[in-house]
Amino acid sequence: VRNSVSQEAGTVYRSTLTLGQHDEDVVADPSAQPATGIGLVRSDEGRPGFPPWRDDLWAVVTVLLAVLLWVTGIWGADPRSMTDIGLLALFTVPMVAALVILTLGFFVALRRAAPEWVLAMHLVAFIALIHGTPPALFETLRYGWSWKHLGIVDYILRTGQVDTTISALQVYHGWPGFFAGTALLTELIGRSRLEQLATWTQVAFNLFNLLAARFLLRSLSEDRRVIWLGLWFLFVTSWLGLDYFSPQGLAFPLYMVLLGLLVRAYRRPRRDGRRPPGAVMSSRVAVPVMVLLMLVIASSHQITPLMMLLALVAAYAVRVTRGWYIPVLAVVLTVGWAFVVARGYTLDHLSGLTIGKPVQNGVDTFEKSASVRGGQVLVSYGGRFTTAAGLAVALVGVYQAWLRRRLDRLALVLLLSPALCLAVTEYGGEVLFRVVLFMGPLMAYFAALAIYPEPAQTAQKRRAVTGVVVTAMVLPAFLLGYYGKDAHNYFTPAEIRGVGWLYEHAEPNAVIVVGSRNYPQRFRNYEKFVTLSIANEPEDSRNRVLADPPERLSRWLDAGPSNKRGYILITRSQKVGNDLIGPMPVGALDQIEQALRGSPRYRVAVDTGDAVAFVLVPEERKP
Amino acid sequence: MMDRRSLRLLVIATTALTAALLLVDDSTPARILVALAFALVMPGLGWAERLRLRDRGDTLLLAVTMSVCLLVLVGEGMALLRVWSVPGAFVVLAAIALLGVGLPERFRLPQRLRSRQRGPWVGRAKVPPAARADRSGEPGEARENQAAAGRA
Repeated sequence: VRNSVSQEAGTVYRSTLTLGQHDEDVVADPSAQPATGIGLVRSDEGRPGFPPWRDDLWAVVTVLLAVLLWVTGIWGADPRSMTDIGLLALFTVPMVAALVILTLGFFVALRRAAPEWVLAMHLVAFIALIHGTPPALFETLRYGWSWKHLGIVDYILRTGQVDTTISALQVYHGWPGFFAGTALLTELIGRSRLEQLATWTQVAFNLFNLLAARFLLRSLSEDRRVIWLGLWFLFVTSWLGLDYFSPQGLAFPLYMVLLGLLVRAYRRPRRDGRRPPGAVMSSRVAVPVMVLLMLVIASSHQITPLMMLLALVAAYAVRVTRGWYIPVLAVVLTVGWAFVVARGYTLDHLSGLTIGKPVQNGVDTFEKSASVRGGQVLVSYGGRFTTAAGLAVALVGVYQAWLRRRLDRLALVLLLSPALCLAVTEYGGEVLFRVVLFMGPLMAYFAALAIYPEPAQTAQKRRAVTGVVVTAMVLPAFLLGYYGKDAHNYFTPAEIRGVGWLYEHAEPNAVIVVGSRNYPQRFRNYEKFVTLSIANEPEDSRNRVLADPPERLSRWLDAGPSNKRGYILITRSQKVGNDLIGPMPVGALDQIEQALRGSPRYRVAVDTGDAVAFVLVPEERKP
Repeated sequence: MMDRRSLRLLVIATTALTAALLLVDDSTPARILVALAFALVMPGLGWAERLRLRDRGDTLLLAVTMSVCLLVLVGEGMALLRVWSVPGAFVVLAAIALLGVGLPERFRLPQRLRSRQRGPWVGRAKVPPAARADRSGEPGEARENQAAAGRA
């Protein structure tokens, strides 16, 4: 049995593996055996008079203290008072103290090689605080586009089917996995719970991400410090908010599990005969689960299957994995689904692929934030800085591993493969976000390697301090990027009530003109209405509306496909969103609302305080 | 790691409770908890346990992953084929869950495969088959591996 002593932690560590197995490990690959890893646990030979469980107890106390401080700090906050830096405007000193305590507690636990449950407790607390605060504080579903997803679930619950030929939001009917699964889950827990379920999904997805990322990182390394520091970096750099109630939120953890299985079961043996790091698994055990995952990913989302293909094909092409049938299966399932079940949407949109224009596709993502104002400029840079800093630290990790001849080529391929997506599609101007998302786990892994490049247990304190410094550098930017848009991602219950009334009372085929698409949109009977957004019109068209809203908008209502009564819907979140990110001038939607309220040609159909719907008075409608 | 009998009891109890709550159309918070536990964990739990991963976190992850995948595929199949039926979906998921814990042990991975779980490169390291099953190195895993091999 090999013992190693951490003087700084004052704790003795001892392998608890059986002698035989441990000896075999050393014979198989002396260099691959970490001094501190999963196989090493704290012994009972710690500081005299200081039993090891006391450190764990202190860890529990610090986490509870952090949670208490956070809750105390946010208690009674009013989400309506968020400013142009979103939820960050509601931060108080106790909340900052909570994050400091949680961060320091995590690194202390990491340095003393605490048991996994202690490290996990810190990350679960981090997820609960960061991702649980918006649903607990807002009590409504975040992000306007999440509500659109509720609309698809509502469609399935009403009709018991999907329609791959439907004209409205056809893409979701072509890849209905997430929606059908949610509809079934809703039926099981009770239909009235759908909104509640969706509101808390972000917390659930992040806990799923934690397990999935741990599975992936455990397949790449046996060093517990690398695994848990990687997980920590993953969660303090995931500012994108793509873990919400969406097909992407579900497909991402499935993608990580798939990669974990690939690494464990299909990694090629090293030429030098050394065993690869990380847990392993028989390919015959892994392949049924992998097929299940590929099928669900291929049928639930559009870009995740592409990322999956790129990873599997690239890994096989550069000969770091074996099993030719794995990428072939992925191609067959992905292409087969796209051209059989979703062929209507696929054939219509093939020409929209921007193949061979990686720079332009990336620039399109940056252009999405070109019209932001005020604090949103800072928010935009906060997100970018988080990613840039994470990548920079990861590059240091790659370099450190290369210097030590420990660079894991498979991990490097999995890190870089999502970037190939830039050469294929702009994905509605979001491809760069998705690339960053899918690079995240491997970026975090290499960032952890930058802190702990050696398995040897040296300079523990310095390494922990470096980790704290990196966290201190990234965390404020992460908070800015993640919470910074919540002023317009928050919807009040009164706003939801007003929009819900409209969706219940508007006649089928009615035109609904909205100020912008930033509102709880299309969550009920969505396919029955035609929605037009003023903010999404070309600039000259918007300017004509702003010049004379009553006149111009009455033409829009009359130009609808039927003679059903049309509505103009202006909500609080539309105004906040436009004032923060454009594209219309600040106060434009207030100006339109005032003009309509003052016009004798319109009357208010519903007004809940945060949502108002106007209709043309009868004589003004076309015969 | 939970033993097989406790696992079987857990899956059967959760499935039965979910069925009862669905039958009486209960709308209490208990239904949310029980139905979520059933739908998101139970269908894959028995099957994940059969993989003998030796790490509780990985077993839980694969149980959740397989359950979520099955939930999605059952829902998707019904929606695409226009045969939406909640009782039908429940029966399918319950059957998968119960088969996972109910099928005899011989349906688990054959001994020949289990002894090769570490992959081809391990053979050169002269590792005893029982110790090869998973090299994740959790404390006491080697003993559990040996015990599992003995049972088989």
